Amino acid sequence: METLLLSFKNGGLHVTPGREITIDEVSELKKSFESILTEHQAPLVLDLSGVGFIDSSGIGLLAALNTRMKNAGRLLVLRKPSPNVRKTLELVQLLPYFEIADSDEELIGLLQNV
Amino acid sequence: MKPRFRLQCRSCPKDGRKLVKAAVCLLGEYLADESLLHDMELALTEACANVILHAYGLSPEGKVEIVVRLKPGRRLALEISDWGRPPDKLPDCEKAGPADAESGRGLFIISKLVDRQSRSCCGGKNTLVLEKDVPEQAWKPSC
Repeated sequence: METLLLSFKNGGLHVTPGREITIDEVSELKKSFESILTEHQAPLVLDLSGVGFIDSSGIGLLAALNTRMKNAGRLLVLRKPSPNVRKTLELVQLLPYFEIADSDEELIGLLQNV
Repeated sequence: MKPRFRLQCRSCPKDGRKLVKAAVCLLGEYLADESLLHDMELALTEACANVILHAYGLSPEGKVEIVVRLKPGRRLALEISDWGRPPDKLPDCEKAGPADAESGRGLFIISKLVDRQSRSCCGGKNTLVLEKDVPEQAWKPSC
């Protein structure tokens, strides 16, 4: 089962997934996020700095999370996506769709605007 | 001699992921370009996911096969085969689709990562062939 690390920092709930977000992990991750989003109302910071590989199922999960958060008037920030994650987001033309923080200063700025 | 490898697994996501990693590991013996290896890993992952989801409907009873064919200094070919339900008419894979869509990006991703692709269905075996031209400098010197 996929383990998510959770922590609170600068007013955001930071969630750190494992090394990969693929079809193999997505159904478990969906359940975990369902529980996290129900229990917590803080902006969600998804730390993608350590994710070395993401496939279209993982991208679909991020898109669904973003849509859900936006519809609820809440903020989802992707923190420091790794080069491979950024490349895949770019490939599917979704970079402009997400709030992305490439530094902690950017992240704090986004969280302060909530 | 042109290197050629054949790998097989059961049609479940976990085994499919291991199969792709094994194929990329073999590719890594010949290719020096990490970015290209990532692209081929992504293309193979999407192709195997399509097989597992659509040809076998997530039933683990089927078989997935990857054949890697290399022509060092020139190109590589990845053949992904299954013995499940033949593919329907292929959807338009030229567009990325809506930003909020949860699925439907796999074929688009594959089309962006390879130079040529073709499909065949023969004797119950469905095969997708992905070809990528690889410049000489992307190969390891030993090739």
